[in-house]
Amino acid sequence: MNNKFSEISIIFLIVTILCASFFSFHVSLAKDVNSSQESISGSVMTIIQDTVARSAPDEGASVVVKLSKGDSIFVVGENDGWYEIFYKGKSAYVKVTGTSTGNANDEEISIAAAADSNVNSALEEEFKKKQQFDVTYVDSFERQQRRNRSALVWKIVIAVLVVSIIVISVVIGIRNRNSIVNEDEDNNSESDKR
Amino acid sequence: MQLSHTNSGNELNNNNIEKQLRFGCFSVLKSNPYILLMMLIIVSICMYGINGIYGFSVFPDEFGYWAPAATIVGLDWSSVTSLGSYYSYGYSIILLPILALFKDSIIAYRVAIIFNLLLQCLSLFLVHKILIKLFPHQSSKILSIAGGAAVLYPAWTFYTQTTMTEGLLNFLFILSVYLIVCFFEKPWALKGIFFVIVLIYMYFVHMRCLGMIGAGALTLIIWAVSRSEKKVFSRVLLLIGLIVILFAISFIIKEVVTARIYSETSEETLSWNDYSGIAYRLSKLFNAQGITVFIKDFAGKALYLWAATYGLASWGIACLIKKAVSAFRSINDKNASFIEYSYIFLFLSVFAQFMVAMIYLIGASDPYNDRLDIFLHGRYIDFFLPILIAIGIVEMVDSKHLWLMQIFFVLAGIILMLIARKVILDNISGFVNAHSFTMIGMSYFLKKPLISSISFFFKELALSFSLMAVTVIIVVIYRKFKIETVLLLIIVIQVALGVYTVGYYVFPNQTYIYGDILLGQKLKEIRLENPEKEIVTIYEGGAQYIELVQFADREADITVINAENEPVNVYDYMSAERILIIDLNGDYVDAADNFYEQKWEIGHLNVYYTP
Repeated sequence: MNNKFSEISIIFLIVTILCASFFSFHVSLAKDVNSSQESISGSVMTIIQDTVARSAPDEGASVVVKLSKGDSIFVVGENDGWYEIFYKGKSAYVKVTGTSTGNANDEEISIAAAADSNVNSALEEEFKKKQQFDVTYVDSFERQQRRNRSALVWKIVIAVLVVSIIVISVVIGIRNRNSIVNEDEDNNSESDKR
Repeated sequence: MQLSHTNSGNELNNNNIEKQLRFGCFSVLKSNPYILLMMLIIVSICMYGINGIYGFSVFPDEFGYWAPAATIVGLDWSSVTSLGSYYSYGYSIILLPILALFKDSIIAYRVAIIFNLLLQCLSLFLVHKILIKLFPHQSSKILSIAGGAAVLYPAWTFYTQTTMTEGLLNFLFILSVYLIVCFFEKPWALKGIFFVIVLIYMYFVHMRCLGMIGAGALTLIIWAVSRSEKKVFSRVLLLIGLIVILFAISFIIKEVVTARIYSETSEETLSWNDYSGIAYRLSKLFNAQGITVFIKDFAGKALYLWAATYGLASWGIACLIKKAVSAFRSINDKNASFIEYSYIFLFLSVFAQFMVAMIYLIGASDPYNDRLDIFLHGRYIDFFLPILIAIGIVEMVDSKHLWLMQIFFVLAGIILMLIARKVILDNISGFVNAHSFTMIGMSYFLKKPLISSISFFFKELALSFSLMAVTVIIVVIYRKFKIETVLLLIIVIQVALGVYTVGYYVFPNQTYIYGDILLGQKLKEIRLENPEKEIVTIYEGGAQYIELVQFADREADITVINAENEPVNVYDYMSAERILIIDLNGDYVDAADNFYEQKWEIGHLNVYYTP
């Protein structure tokens, strides 16, 4: 029975690792294959009023970075009055301040779209230089997303293996001990009979 | 009279293991499912992070280990290499084919990590085999659990994810123990030669392994003298002769490597890693002040050994001392077994390497030394801790005086803690400079900047004491209820610490490292578009990120201008014929911004050029 258990354990563990490898590889590869067909959606925007980026879309969340007027950021989404940005390898959130309509011409709004027709030529020059900067951001962002997905798969595998250890150590150990105790009792009763 | 080299209690087990090995390692795995389980854990931890690893975690060490391999394949990295001290060339022998076969730097680095992973997995089998021979009465399952706990030592898991030499040294130490055990069991000349080659190769990999050579030679001499057989004597003489010859060759190779690769490195920088000043360091010990310094330094290293293994290594050392004393008695009675000679080698090698660490790092407790990690140093002793952990677990499980010994180790830990605390409190700077990678086993609470080293110190010790208590409870449960599998919970502790260590010390930095690799790739594009331009970098101090750029664009001929100690006139180096690389927020950015037309700002550096 112990041999059968060993065989089943070995097969189960190998299958787990193979599945994890497949999913991890698939996650990495899918992005590589599709990278020429899709890109991270987002746009480069410029801060026109000092503000802060937080770790979550919440006024109470910790500050990730302070943003000054003139800083360029890569905005990847908008949700409930917060812009999600990608900054130096981390995701963060900037509150959209200003009127409830979020009118792009309102002076109180802290972010302005770089494509705004009022951007002067000096700013256009600046954006050209920033374009180089953005290419590396997008590349880093994509890599980090891939890495996070792959890491999640392997974290699950490690958790499965650790749980297996705990189950084996406690459950199987107690079962084996009970069978040893029963064996001893059987031996004792046999020797009593003799 | 020679004792039989196998004890009947586990002879069947040994024969089964050998039979299984002859029919392939899958059958070994089948009869030892715990080894498979632990191998899968080791693989999973490595795979967990490998997609997020792009380059060096430690500067300038890792670059120094790749540099000789680069020279052999025809690359000239001598200028960038000059930013670091001398690093041994042994690991380059392993890295050479990787560098030659894989042109992409990220792939090459990851292949090196996979190689470390393979060594770690192979060590599982070797440790198991060693323990089977050293503890023939003990259950194979317990020995495989002890071996797994050893190989899953968190510092080893960390080093596997880097191209530091420690991953390789961990494996080589275990291999050397395995070879000497096999040699003493059946003293074939070939086994002895392999053993000597491994010892010398360890020295090639890192010069601090000098202790291994001494321990190996001394053990062989003790064995030869005690056996008093002419054939044995002649074999040992041959092996000692081989040690001397190969040791001498190592100096010649070092001279060649220094001349070819470190030609631009200053004498002062080269001397950082110079082990030839050992006589001078030893001379410092022979006075009252020297002895006080020695005791304080000892407290730091011994405390690391104790805390990083939460007491298991203490059990291991106690076992080694006991077995070594018994072995010398048996030698005196002329009935020593091969197992006893093996224990002598283990004891001597652990002692010798500990002393090398002590001597080379003498003065670590000096009040004017601000490096906490030099005081609580683990890097120089981490490579023999796994085998001590394995032996320690078996010793705990078998010990007739579990509580007495445990109380003794707790008291020893407290005494070491008190001495170390005094050293930290007496330190002028408060020991606020701590490099985690040299004290990985005691870095779980290390946050930078380190505001209070005492607070950090007590948190680490609280963790070690807690884990020690948990381990004792696990062993007590095993001893009371005879549930072997409960010892697997020690593996859970090692896995948790290992995953935390790599998650905290390796992967977060790699996001920034990737930027420097990208810069290297961009530099290659620029270089190919402008082949006539020279590449110059001004180094202003700090981590040598230019090494990542060189690693990524391996064919680039980068000239380094060292402005670390004295600023330079950047206008002397700016020219339309030059591609300039400088620090991202360094002193020369404004001047370069005004001079050059094009700029790429990636990672930690800027690259400037005019097309």
